Amino acid sequence: MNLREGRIGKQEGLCLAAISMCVVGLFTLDPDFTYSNGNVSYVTLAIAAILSLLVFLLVSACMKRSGYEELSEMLEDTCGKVGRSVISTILMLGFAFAAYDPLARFVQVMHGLFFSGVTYRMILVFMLPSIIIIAWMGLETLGRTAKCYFILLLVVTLATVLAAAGEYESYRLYPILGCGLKQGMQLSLSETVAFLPAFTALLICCKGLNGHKNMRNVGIYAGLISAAICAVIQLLLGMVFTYSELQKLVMPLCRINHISIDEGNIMRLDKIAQIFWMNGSMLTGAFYIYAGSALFSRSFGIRDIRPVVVPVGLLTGIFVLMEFGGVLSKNEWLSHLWISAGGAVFAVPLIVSSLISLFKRNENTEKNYAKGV
Amino acid sequence: MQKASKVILTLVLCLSLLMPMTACMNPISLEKYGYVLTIGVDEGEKKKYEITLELQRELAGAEQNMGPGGVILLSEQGDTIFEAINTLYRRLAFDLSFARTYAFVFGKKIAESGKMQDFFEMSLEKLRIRQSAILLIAEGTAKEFLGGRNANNEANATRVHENLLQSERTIGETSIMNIGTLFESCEGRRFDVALTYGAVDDKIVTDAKQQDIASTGENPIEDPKDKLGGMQTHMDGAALFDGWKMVSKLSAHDTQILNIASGRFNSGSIMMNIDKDLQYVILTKLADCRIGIEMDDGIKADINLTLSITIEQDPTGELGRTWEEKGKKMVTDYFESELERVAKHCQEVNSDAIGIGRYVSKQFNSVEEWEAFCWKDIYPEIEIEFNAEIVLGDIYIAITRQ
Amino acid sequence: MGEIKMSFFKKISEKLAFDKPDTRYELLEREKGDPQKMFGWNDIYAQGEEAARACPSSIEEVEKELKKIFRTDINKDVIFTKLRAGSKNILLVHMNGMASANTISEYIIKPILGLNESVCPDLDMLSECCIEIAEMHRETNLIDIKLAIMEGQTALFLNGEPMAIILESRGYEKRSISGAENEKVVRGPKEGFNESLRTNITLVRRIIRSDDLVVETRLSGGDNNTSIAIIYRDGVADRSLIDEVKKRLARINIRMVFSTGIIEQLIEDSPNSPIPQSLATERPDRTANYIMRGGVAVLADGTPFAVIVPITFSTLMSSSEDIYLRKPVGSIMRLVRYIGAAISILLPGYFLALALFHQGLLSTEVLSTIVQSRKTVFEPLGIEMLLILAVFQLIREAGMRVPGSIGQAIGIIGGLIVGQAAVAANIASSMVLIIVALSGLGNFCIPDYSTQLAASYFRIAFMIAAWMGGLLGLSAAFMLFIAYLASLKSFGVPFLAPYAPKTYSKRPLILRGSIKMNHRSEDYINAACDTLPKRSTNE
Repeated sequence: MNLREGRIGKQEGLCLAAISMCVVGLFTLDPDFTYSNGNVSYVTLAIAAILSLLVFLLVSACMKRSGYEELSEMLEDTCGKVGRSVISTILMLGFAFAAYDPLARFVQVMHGLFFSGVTYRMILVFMLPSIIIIAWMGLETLGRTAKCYFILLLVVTLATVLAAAGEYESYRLYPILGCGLKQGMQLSLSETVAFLPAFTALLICCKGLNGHKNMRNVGIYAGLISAAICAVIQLLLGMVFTYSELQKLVMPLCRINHISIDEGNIMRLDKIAQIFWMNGSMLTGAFYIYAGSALFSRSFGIRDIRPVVVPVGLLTGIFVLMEFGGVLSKNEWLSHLWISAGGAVFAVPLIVSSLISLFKRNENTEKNYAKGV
Repeated sequence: MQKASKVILTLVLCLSLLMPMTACMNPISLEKYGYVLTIGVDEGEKKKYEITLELQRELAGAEQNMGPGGVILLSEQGDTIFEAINTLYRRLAFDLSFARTYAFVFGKKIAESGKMQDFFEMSLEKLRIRQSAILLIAEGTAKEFLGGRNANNEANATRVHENLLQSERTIGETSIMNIGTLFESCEGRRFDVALTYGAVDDKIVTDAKQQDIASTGENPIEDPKDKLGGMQTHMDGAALFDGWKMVSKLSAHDTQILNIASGRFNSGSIMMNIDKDLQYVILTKLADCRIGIEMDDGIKADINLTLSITIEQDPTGELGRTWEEKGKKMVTDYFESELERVAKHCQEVNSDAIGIGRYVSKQFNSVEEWEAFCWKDIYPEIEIEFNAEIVLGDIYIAITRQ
Repeated sequence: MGEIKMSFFKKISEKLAFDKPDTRYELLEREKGDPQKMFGWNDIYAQGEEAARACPSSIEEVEKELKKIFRTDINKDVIFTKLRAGSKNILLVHMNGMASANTISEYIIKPILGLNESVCPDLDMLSECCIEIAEMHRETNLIDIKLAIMEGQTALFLNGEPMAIILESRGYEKRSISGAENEKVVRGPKEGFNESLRTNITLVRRIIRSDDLVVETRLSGGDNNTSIAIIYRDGVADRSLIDEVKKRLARINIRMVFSTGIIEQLIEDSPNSPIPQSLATERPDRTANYIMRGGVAVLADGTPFAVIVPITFSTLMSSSEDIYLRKPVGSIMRLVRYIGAAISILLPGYFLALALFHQGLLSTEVLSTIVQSRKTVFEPLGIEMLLILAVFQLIREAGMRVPGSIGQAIGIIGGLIVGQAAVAANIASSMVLIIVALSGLGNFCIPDYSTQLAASYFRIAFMIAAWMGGLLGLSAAFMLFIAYLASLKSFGVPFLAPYAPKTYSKRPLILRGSIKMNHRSEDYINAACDTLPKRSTNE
């Protein structure tokens, strides 16, 4: 086996990316925006995943063709050093925001379900240091921890949806695809915010994933698996709650067993599932913080990402505190912008940079052809 | 230099790990709580509501410091449940925990006035009550109902409640629904709920009372007219709702028929009264229930049921012997007529307890069309037709009886 | 401005030493080829040892030198014997008690004294025709001669020769081979290592009778000059692993090394970690098992434990008995072991989290029972749990330290009487006692002693995390624990291999694999695959 330092294998990368995508796709959708015209999220999420995967494959192909080993190299070559710095800063902020989103949701749920007598800050104090420490420990630790948690999360999710098996009714899905094609596409584009940060993080960790080929495979598998999981879970949620109920629920998956009449003591253990999903959101946050820090540090010539991880992590924490301090709710345009167009923060610079690189020659291309990579 | 940096890093790490220690998450040990099992809601005299809480006391056990066990009831009035609870706190030596609440009991007046919506406007999340908590309507007041249920001073109220529900579910004489279903019915507008209806009979001399009287050396049967044993409460059919408001009450038998019509019936014994003197007891199992909707010329609902029956009591002995000739038709006609009667009653009170609206919603392709469609306005006018397919399960016993 | 910012970042990085690459893992492949060349295995001078001293030709000078080295004016242990071998003088030097007087008398002195006076012997003649000792070699370095004498060998100096013959005459008292006290098995060999390095090497050689088994011995690096040996299979164990082990052993430069426990701490990747990154075992069969699969074992004179590297988490959780039992039974035992370990670490914290924060997860009956039992307990639940855990640890330590049957009795007395008395005195509730007892039993399911101890302290950390933050705190602590395990490495091998990272190993992680897989070496330590020789199809 290849024991290279700072590298992770395909399975670890897959688990890391898949957990991130599934957590964001299942738990952070804005209910009002998503379900206001019926429930089509089981289709739109899958489409969003495919769209994000296409963007990822485009960028990956351009990177390989031009011989870039890292995303920051491509950004520098196509946009110049200043452009690279600007884009890296924007992406770093985007990652911090992407990390804040699931974190804030789970802080809210933890507060509502378990700790209603304490402030949000107190709950955040437990989650944020753990996230920063895990991101600090590096990609290997992140990947292996994600590998350990992936099976746990799968089992827990499967147990949850199977426990609610008695409540699935197809009539709750109707009117099926009732929102129309235009709105469906709009939702799909907005839901790319669930997948694009994870794909971008994979691009940043290209070297850590042992090259383009592995990275591409990881992205494809992670995208398809996440699309399937999100679509199936959303479909099952749609069979438990009508769209009008879903509009009012923050995390419907956490309540899927609440309406079961045949409830015993075992059903109440769904709170353990929520704790595991919260851990998934912490891993997601750590991954995004790591990716944002890695890109930023490489772009600014800092050889080690660790001194950047802490401020990025703290920035994420500040975003969460801003949400619960009312700052973001007073400036709703920001959260609406993120919900509807957050994917563009990642997609636009990547696509532009890829298209520029397609028309640019890179002297590494000949070397790669010679090596047979 | 490296050592100094390591020391600094270690300090930073320790500080960050110590940070959670400063967070006071407000832990309260479990013995400081009283666990509310059921919440009863009635109309208050001085305030909007009178809230009755059923708490589990400690269970009787082997250790010497354990008490006799049982439940205690607390009641207080308030304009909201929070006000009532806050008032209760003043005279309680413990906090109240609603994490184990499994039922709400509403008095009949509250249910009929539609105030349940107002009551549920509060967030259940604040009290951490799961939406799986079942709903009951009490014939008199919820307070009387809870008092009657606990008159036997059962040591483990949770077990009693579970056993009651289990037996009712087996018989099918009541309809068990929870808060989640109620919310779905009122917000989704595709069906109405039929909630468990409970009655109190305080003439019953409970087991506990019999033992008390007998222990003093007296005859526990004070009045020959008294009923003896068991609980003073029982489930007595279902309460039909139109949205948030209770509109009618069905008897136990009618509730069984309703459950069959809506597909919720599992199995149970049904009394088939053909004539005044002839009463057959049929163990019925619902094998299949399909509802088809036609929307060509008005809305027509075809409900096709397959029932598998076993004849438990046949006073004449003819039903089984002449099953193919006339028995089957008799039973089929009986079921169809009963189903139509109950369905008509539901239409009269505008309660879609059968849930036809769920299948009507499947006919729409867009959310706008469905939102514009007022199902409850049209429901009383629709045509409902029942087709019952009766399959005699236990032919051998039927033929050889007598 | 940009340059100022970058230089500011660089300054911070330099001060906090972030910039320096992590050089701990020279074991790993490099993009530019093989690992760096290790400095000499036998180059003990790198550790600050004395420079070599040539052996004088004259035995008087030798005697004088050695008496000075050994401080014979105050140190009476070293025996100098002068003999006449034919026409020449001979000096024999040995350490009283370390060397066998009988061997010296019968097989060295007697044949020498039997030489005719007319014979003019040289070293060749003495070693080939006279002395009746099987193992002997020559040394010219006085320091090496000194070390040999201190080990119990006898040095023979012939007047006029600038070297000595070192004769194997070790005969010190040592413990006989007995059972492995801390790794008892029902089925399987009962032998355990003892304090003699030679005996221990022999025990391993009895099991591995393979020509590729290599035993390299050297001194430990401490001032007490303990002999250590590394054992591996040449051609099977990864070369860079062997080099790395040697390199780390060569770096040892402390005052005393008298146990593999000390060596283990000096060569591990993270010596400050509570979780060991090497396996200490007193069973030769277990040692042989890992050597056969491509591991490297380190033995030290004076300690009955072998240190095996590299290891993974599943190594610490497996017992030598697993392979001697049938597959289903062995798998169930392993599963029980993992469940026991999980219970040991998580149960107290989980119970505390539910009792303090998440009462809704407990059934009403359980709640009522616990409420009943805690009605008169005067301390908070967290303190009660900590107290009982501390008492449990005290009973455990006391039971181990007190000798003989009294030690066993203390366990029973502590468990039954103290526990019952604590409940009666309202210091503890019965539920907490049960939780702690279950947790303790689960702890004893962990086969490795160091891991047991680590688990018992981690359990307290989890308990405190649960006390502070309920399931949120417990899960955050658990996640950090998993991340910590994921970050650990044992000589470059990730601790959670072969699960994370996934390797080509077909051996199941928790359940016991098929016995036919036993011939496969481990992919994650880069050992040579399929160590069985290929058989022809005609057999």
